Amino acid sequence: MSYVLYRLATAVVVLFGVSLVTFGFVHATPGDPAETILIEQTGQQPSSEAVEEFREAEGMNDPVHHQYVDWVTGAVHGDLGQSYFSDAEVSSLILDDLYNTLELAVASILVALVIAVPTGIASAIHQGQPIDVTSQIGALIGVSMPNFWLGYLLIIVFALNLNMFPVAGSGGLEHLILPAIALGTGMAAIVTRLVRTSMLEVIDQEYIDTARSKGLKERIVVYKHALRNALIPVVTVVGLQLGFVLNGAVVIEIVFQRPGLGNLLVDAIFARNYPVVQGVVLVAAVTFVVSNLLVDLSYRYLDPRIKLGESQQ
Amino acid sequence: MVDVSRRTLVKATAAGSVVSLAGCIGGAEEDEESLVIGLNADPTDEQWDDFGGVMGYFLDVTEPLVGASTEMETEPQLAESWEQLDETTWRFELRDVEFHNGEALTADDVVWTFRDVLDREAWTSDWLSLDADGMETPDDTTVVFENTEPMASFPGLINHDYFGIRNPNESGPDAGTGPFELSERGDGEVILEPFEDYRGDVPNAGVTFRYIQDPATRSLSLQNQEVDVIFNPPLNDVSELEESSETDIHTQLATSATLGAVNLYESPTDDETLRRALNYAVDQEEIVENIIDGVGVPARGPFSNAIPWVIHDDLPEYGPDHDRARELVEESDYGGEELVLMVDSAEDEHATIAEHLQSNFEDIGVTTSIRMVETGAFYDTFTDGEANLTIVAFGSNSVASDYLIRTMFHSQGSDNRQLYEAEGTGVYNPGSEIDEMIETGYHTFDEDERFEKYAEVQREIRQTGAVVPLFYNEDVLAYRSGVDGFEPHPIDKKYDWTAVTVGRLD
Repeated sequence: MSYVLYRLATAVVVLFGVSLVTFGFVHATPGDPAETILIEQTGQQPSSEAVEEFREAEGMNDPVHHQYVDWVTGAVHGDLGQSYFSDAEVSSLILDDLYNTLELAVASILVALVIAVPTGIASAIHQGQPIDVTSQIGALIGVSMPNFWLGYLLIIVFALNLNMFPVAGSGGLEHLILPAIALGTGMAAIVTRLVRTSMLEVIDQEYIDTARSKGLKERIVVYKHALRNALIPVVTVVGLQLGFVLNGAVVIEIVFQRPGLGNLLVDAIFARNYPVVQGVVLVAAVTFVVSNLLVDLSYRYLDPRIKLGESQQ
Repeated sequence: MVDVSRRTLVKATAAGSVVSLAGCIGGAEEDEESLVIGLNADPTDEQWDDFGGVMGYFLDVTEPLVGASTEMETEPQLAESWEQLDETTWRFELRDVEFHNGEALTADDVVWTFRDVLDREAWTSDWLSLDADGMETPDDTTVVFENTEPMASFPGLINHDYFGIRNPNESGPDAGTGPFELSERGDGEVILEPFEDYRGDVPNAGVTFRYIQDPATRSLSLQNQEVDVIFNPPLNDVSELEESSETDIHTQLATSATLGAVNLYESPTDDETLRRALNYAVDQEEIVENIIDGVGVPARGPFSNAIPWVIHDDLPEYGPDHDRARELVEESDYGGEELVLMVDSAEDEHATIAEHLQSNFEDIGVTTSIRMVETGAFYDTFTDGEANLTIVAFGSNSVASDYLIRTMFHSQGSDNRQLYEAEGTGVYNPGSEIDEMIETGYHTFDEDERFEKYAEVQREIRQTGAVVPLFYNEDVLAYRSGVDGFEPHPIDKKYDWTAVTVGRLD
């Protein structure tokens, strides 16, 4: 329990740091948001009066630390402010797109696991054999291949040539599969190598020899005894990869024209829509911190030998 | 509890996956009666929400009082006619038309719309020379506008989509009078249906505007027949789309031009001889042919030839003549300083053009560095005068393109005002003589005099090398074979889709 409280406290500190850095970076970015937004709306350089009026209305003339405190206070109460472009609540803009991004993230993680776990296991069991070499080369290609390029490749093959999926859009499984593969492949490559390494370590353990000496079938030894322990580091990496997935989603959402936080964030950055930028980054940070917390807490469940927060005897 | 073995579970999952995938085969199905247009701008994003989600751009849901012909001349739209009562007063007579909800259009609706825009977008007051109390309604079908100063191009200015007339009692789908009415909107898509009681020709088909941000994805969506029409495919796809039997290309001279705006107040480009040398170094035809794949027209001046008062044919050609350019560099005060060429990082071709210019300038003995600036900060950096030469593209979204000449070359124009007010300089505004020409042209009601003043400005700008003209932009429309009947327009937002036939072959 004390460990959970400790982790929650550190999560709060991390989020405080994220809020500070995000706010600082956003406000240090070149370009006056008042001017940028008025230009975006009007197509012309606004008059200095119009800029001043906008700045006053949006509280940009307040001291920066006041603006920060106002924003954090609001955020703590669930109010992320309003978009500069309209009266839309930032939280509702985020909620509108969060589902699409999470859907893509979960699907791509599933794709990664479906590819990586069997491949990693096969690679470890058949170490040094053609299947291992092939999977390692595949993993290398997967890691090296930019996901947007893979996205275009998938579109050309499966949408244009085979006419199995639509090129762009959202809603329905048919719109999810190609983006999930494009985004999940990179992670699959990393996880494959991790599963392989982890399995190789576990397979060398004495308890695996014991299991074999008891006459258990190799399938039982691998899947029941070795895999469960080998997957513990995988859980960690998959949790950490959520950040990678959210990053990649920015590009993939553009390539497949899927609404999502990535598109929302990029548009907001170009338009200097600070409240939206800050809101999206904060939500992404919260998602990342919470997923890491859940990963840590899941250790104890996955491996009762691990006593979180207690010194090893 | 049902006992399900792992093997059964795996089989069931696999079967489910196959069934799901089978459902995907064949791609998305489209309504055969609706034309689907892939846009490079989101018609549902926040900036389009100002008017209840039926912002006039592209959508033909609302209509302005004054229309724009394909020759870029004003023509009656919701106003049947208009006349100028004196230097600052205009009277507009309205047509007898109905909004989509069946209510009759009245003069009060027009005044409400203008006041709403003036309130939401305060800058428009300056632009139109119109205050919120500068309108009267002598009767239900007459509106009298009182400008704050003589404004000869007022009818053309209110052709802008901002001034699409809306019903004050409706904030959503029934707000307009246009040939299309709003059916659905959301997730980057707007679906329009023909307005069956439209006073003119009722559209043949509904239209769906779908935002597809990435140019490559737009092009692939067209090739996969998910959309029927796309604006601005990637340049390197244009010839392939043109040669394909399933797609076609239409190019249309746009109102915008791409140019190098030269900073007249920053050394060393404050030297006119050097600026002229830079102009002699540039080969516009080579840029059009080799960098933008022929999608554009080599420019001589700063404004597109689609604008009626542009005097492209009367403007001198500089070259290219690198020998003459080198002579001018020798004659100038240039001492080997590095010029800064600035480009918007979001404009792919602009970076390549900057590299091309850099190479040309190097050849005449002028060294340069290229500065890429992120889109959000680009215009601000430009108007701050932080570069010697900035590659920009400007055009007009209304039939009165006069505001372009003021925006770009008047000291109080929006491109120059910031530095002019702060330091008495500007960016590429040559000074008070040009300011006076622009003001005379802007306010005179004699069209010949106006055009002559604007011609003088263009000659002077060209002569002094305040810009390095590059090309007049062309809009590229790629469409599926079978789509027919659309009417192009120099302003891409004013394409007419009412007579289009979809001709979908399934």
